[in-house]
Amino acid sequence: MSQQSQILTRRIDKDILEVFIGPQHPGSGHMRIILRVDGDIIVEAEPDIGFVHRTMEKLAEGREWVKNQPLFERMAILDAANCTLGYIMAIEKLLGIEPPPRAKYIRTILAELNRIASHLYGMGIFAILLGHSTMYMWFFGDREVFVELAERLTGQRLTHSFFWPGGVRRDLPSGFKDELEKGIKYFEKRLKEYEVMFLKNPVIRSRLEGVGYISRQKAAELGIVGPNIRASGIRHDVRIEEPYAAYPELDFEVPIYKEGDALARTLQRVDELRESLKILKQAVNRIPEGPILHEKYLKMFTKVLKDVLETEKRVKLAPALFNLRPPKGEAYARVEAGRGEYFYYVVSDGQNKPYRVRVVSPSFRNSIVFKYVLPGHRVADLPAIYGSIDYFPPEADR
Amino acid sequence: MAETSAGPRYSERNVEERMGLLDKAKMHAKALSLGMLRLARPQRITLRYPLERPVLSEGYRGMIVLNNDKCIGCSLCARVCPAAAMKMFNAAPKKLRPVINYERCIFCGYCVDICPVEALYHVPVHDLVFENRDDMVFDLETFTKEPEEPEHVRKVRVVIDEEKGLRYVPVNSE
Repeated sequence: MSQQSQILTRRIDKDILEVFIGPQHPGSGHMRIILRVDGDIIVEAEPDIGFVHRTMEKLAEGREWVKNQPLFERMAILDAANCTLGYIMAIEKLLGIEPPPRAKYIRTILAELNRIASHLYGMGIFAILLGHSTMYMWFFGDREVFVELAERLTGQRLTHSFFWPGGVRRDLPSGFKDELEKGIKYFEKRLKEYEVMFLKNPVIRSRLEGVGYISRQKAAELGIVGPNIRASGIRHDVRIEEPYAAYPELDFEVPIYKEGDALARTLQRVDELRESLKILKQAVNRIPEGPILHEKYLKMFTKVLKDVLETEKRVKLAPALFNLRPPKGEAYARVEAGRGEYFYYVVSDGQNKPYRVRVVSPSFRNSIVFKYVLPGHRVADLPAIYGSIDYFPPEADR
Repeated sequence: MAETSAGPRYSERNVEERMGLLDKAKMHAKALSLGMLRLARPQRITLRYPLERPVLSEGYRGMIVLNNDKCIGCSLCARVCPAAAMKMFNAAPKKLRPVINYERCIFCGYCVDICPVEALYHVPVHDLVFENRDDMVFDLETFTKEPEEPEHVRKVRVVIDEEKGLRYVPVNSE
């Protein structure tokens, strides 16, 4: 029997119905979940990933090191800073350089702006999946504030491409601190309204309480990451475990919930939003003065490049950065993005292009959850579980 | 640093108890009244886009324009382009010049940043309409001219506001 016919002829028990959810675009990219249902109880679920696979790891081998940044940010366009930061940090490890303190703070600011925007996006999708279109509008509307702030800092709403190995591309624009503080004040007020409208809304509560339970043990077994594992009571956050950027110097908490259900995951995310605001407030106030690119490259700047840096506060791409040839070797870097831990493993053979770039994205690790969590639930609970996991297919498929 | 900072740490929290009937009724009422409040005093941040256009922030990575006099034809911009949108061609014998294909451009601004003589720059325009795909490939003549925005639109300045999130303040074009 050929392989294809094996796939097509699968025996299904009597009275069990196979339901294909997707391939569709539930607001977060194309995905499909194949369900077997008995009545409306799910007995088996298979996440069928790969609809937005773009061979990113292979493409990365054919491009110069810095050119991969715009490529990798297309994994999770709404979390672009976090998902490229790991790659840049891995290159820095290969080169053996550390960005100057000011650059680290700017990175932290952008990473947290992105985390807020990414959480709000995820929650917006979650709300509309639950049928709560008011909150969908509110989450997406408030996200716009942070997208606007990121645009003022980087020059682009979503595809920031903001890092150079050894620093960042731009300094904080003038007046950024005031604008950010205004945005934070506004958002703090909104968080109180979210509580009334969404988190403590009895309708939402009854949709989420006890739904999609992942036990502490199961979460560890499956190796899921990010807010999902923290809502199951496991202390894991790369910002604490393996501090990077300016995080070790800032004072914030990473909320841990033990309950492991959809409600705990939702509350965990909202608490993280609060902590992100705390981080942002500290970061803009404590940011040190100084250069925003490693001195090794600043030395190579010609007069034109130096002038632009001084007048426009824009770091030009010195040819040395473009023709980067990291020494032979391998390095890895981990970053805590909105949905969890990004892991980059890069190998250099001394050429101007990477020999290998391996990316493990948080959504890829989280996608397996559907197989183990969905069985036993009603089909009507699927949107609540899908939304609470905050699964983002383009990130999983790469 | 002078202030004592506790540094990053974990904090264990609990989901509240399930709500009783009375609490549920109270929260229902609260949610509804907030909804009514926002119905009466809406917090709109929608921009009526084709009619209103925002003034893009300073340093926005919009469309790219070539300053032909400054260009030295070094082809670095074409080499750095991650999307292969920029190509070099012979404008005259021994005179290479870049041209851009906006069908491919991803507005990463690498070309602007690598130019050693600042011959390329961004303009705060990002939403031109093309009638066909061939028009998206700019030649030297269009590439050296700053694109113009339609004039009939109302320009607004985006202001971040403590009360409303985003506010759009109309600007009078001079």
